[in-house]
Amino acid sequence: MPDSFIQSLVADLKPVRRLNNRDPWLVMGLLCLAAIGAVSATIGLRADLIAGHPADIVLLRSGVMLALGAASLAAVIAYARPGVGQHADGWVWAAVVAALFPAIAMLSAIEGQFPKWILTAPSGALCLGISLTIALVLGAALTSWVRRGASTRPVLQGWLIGLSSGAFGTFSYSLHCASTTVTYAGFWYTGAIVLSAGIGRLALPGLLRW
Amino acid sequence: MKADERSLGQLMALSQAGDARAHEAVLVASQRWLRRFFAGKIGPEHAEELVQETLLVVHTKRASYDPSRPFLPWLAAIARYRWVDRLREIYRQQSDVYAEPSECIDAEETVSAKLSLDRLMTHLSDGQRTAITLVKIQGLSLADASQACGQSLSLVKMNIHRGLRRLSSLVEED
Repeated sequence: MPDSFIQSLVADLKPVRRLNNRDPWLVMGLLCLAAIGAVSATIGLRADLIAGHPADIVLLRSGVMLALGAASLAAVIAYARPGVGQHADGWVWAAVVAALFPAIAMLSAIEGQFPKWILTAPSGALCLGISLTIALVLGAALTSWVRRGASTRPVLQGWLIGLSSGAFGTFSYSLHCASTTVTYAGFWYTGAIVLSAGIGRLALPGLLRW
Repeated sequence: MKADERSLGQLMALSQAGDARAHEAVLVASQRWLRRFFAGKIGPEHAEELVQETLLVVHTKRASYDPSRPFLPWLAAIARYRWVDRLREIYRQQSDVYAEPSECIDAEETVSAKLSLDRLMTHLSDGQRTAITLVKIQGLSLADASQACGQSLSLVKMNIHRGLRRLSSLVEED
């Protein structure tokens, strides 16, 4: 005979919709498209993109940011459910590859060849502001989905949600960005993604604990 | 009748769809499993409360269970997370925890050595494990534990603090 506590839980039972792994992919994809649409409508896309012949650097940085966003999103999804021995480490490799951009920027600074204009470029603040704004929207949607689950790794989840939304947010903005240098991306894009990850680490664990 | 791993997963899937009988069966089986799981890992006055807290999570977070995966690792992960959380809470409150001889765990329902709380304890240093076992599980006072294990009072406190932090991060890492 179940005790009264169990009976009270049974009395409270309602059908629930299972956590679906496809939902966050769909939501992040749609929000990214909406963000790109908003960027296009307000500040415009790069001319080479509109012409259908994007520069190599645009393809390269877009690929890296999309891979980083997708790998960290896959980890967020894997860690949204309780489980023992779960490992979704693809994001680490994606982050290592993405780190080549700031590494190159740092090397050029060491060699005294870092272009000073990059630090003071007005587009830098725009890059940070727009990327982080988009990341905030993406991160809020992702957090809301993760909260339906029961993550046993809230601190890591905070980092990963920030990383994923930061990478997708910066990618959405980058389709406007006229820059064609690795050092610019290594400084401003990395800054936006790292800031987003840091905000996720600081702000989210408390919301994800249960 | 004891529900096996597969039938527990199937019952949980029915629970998610709103089947009250299946939900009751899952909760009763989980309660039995959790009582064995927590036995000897925390004082008995906290153990029953911890079982109820974990059952409440099983109920409220049932949407997070994936029926294509085994049920017990899902339950064990929730139980471990709540256990470490509770140890930290007890540590913060500096309340006393008393010992009770631990019940033997039914081998059939033990998930695996990998999942056990004992395995987590093996990742602690000897000093940390001894301090946590004496004070947080057996319920000795800090002074008695200090005498029993030969660590100074401040070392016992430090070992408990660091050990609980380590346990907490282990639960998050595993």
